[in-house]
Amino acid sequence: MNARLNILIVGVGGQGVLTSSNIIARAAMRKGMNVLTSETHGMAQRGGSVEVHVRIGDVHSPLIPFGSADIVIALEPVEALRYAHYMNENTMIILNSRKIKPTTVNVGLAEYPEIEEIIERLKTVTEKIKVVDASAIAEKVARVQATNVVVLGMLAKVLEGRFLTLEDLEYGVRAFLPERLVEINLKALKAGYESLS
Amino acid sequence: MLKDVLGKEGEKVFLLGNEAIARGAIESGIDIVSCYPGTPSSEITDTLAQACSHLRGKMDYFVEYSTNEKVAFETGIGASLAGKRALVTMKHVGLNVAADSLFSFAYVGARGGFVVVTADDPTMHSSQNEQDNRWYGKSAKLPVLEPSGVNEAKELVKVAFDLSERFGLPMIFRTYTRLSHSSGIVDLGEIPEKRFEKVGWERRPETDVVLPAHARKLKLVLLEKLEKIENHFDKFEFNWIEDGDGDTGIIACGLSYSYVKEAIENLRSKNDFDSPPVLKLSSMHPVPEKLIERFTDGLKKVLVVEEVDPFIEMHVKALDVEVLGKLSGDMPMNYEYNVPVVEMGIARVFGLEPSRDYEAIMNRELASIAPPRPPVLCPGCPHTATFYAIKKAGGEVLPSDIGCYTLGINKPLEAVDTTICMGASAGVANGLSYFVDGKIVATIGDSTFFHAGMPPLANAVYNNLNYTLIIMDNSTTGMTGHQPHPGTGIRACGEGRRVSLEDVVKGLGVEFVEVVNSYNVRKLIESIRRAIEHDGVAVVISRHPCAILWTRERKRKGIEVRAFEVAENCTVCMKCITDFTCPAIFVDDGKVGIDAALCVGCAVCASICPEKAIKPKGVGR
Repeated sequence: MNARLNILIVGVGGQGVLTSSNIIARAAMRKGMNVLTSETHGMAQRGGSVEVHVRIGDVHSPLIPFGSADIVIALEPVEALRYAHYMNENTMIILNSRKIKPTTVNVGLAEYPEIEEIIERLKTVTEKIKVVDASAIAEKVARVQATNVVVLGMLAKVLEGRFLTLEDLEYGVRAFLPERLVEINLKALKAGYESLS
Repeated sequence: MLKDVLGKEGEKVFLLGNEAIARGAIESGIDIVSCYPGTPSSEITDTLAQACSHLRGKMDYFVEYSTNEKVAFETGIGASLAGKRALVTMKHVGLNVAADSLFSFAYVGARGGFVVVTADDPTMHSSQNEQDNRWYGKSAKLPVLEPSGVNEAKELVKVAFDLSERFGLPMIFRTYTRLSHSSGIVDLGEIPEKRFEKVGWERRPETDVVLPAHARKLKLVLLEKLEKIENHFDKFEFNWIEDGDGDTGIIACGLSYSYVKEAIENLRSKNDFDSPPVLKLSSMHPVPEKLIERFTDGLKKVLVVEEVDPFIEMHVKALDVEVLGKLSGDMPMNYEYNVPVVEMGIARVFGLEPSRDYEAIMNRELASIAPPRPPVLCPGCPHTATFYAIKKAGGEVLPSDIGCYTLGINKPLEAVDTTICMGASAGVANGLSYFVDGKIVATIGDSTFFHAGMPPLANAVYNNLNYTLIIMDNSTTGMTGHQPHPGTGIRACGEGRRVSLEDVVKGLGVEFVEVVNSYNVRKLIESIRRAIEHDGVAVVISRHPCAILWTRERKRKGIEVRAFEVAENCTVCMKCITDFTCPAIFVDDGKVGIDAALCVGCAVCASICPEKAIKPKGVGR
């Protein structure tokens, strides 16, 4: 990898996308690296689709240019499709398979695609897709709300020591989360890390 | 995070753009901050409100959530005239509300440092228009500053206060969504020691009373000040020239500088191309003409990269150089910039190939099977119940306003017919009531009513107009992050007093005023029916705390939040989906269900179910 790392985290309002980016940012700062993030606020937060850009290293713009994400973390499957314009043929996708159906689907105005179809579509851009059930891991070791931290453990694994290590992210968890949530989230982080071979 | 905002001098911390602006205000030793919240500006004052009590006794300042932006602005004027430093924050359209005060205060001039932060919203992520507030600088004859990044934002706030006092000018500080809602590493400076201190009032009618004879003189003084600050901006440390090759240069304004830097790097990775000369600009008005002339001297062409309008481009056009940008069609006229947009523009002008085929990437059709996920009213939102009741009560013409409740436009409620700007529900209803045949039921939030709903309601009483106004009182400013307002009696920092909505409405002369619990749909429908039948303007206050706050409060008090469920006797009539709506209600395999994790137990769906098939979980089994 070059001197910059672009991570796009997408999901649904309430899944802790902002928390994830803040943990990564503190982990990067521990390493003395430059870091910029950019987030969605306001109207989009009300159960809507949420994106956060995290950029580490030699970067100027807070937004990842189209086609330039090194890693996409999708906390919800269809959200990966919605942000496909940030991916390229080398992008690594960590896709949490747990569906959150939008109200448009609940009331019959739209259909939710099969997970296989989602993956097939993503594969037209990149072959590097890790489909995981981070929500199940979170429920097992902590609670479902820790899904966003489980995927950070997975992130540490796929980075293989480049830019950020598990220890850096552990530091990020300690630095950003309130003390009462630290232990349970460290467990979630570790479980995510160990779940990928 | 507050802990970082309050960090010690010399520390490097990770801050949101708006938090960096707040820290800049703290390091400037502000005496007061006043605002009306509005995305993307809200976190500036929210942060200062949170920090206030922590800094008490060390760096004292007042925090005011004002009733509207004009009021916030004038609170700032008062502080400045008393020689104190005032920060006033608002979103771009907020400055329209405060514009009357802005234009006149320009003539009066600042005594204590006065900085108004206005947050533009290119692409209209959460706004009704895409206005460029640099024009206010041009029009009101005031300086405009615009930072290029998060750390610079903090520094530039401090500089803005210094310049305001040095030149006696109120300063406009322009930020926008992508800067306010980006985070970066910030170098913390010193927090000055300062206590509250009253001062004696010194009368200066010759400047502070803008009667015509004074104003005619003050205009010349203002122009003189503006010329002086333009000379300052010619040598301003936040404007700089980066040398490069070739006869085409780039003027990069504010955050666009970061896009230009990265676009050039990307283009150099793909093309044999030397970096062109770049002028980084952070003073948007008055435009530093001598600096720009120095930069363009020897250049044949210059490309201007700036957010929203061709503001600098139009100014530079007067110079002896070919100017490219939005007007020339080389940069897009609409929506916010980013690296690809800027890179494609530079590539066009310099005859280069972009580092990626951005257009092909944007045209990928992967998301065509992704179901839309629009923002929705939350589970248990009292507005949903109110909109349902309005439709059942026979409301036909439905002007509405600015807030979460604008989402009442969506199916199946479809209870929002117009949304213009703050307070325009009652305002537009006034005009409609002269001409439209149909039962007019306007909706406005409590915070919005205090902001701009009182004058049009007084107008309705005075002119004998006939319509119903529903004040949807969820006891907070929901959309922007739950800021308090006069109806809550809670202040940003310190004790406040509650202003009663019903007393205000009665005081304005409205004869029909009823208050109903939003969750009591049956009573609400009856009340709205009576209001519609009433001859003259009628007000129904539909009152229930915002569901988010209500649930938070119950959890804090240890009160169980009991979810509802659908019982066996459900006939799948679908009324709860076709007439009502709630994100917690879903249809799966032809059956209606309620997501217990989302349900907040408001019981409204249970009350509208014709079969009485929705019950508290665990009851009726």
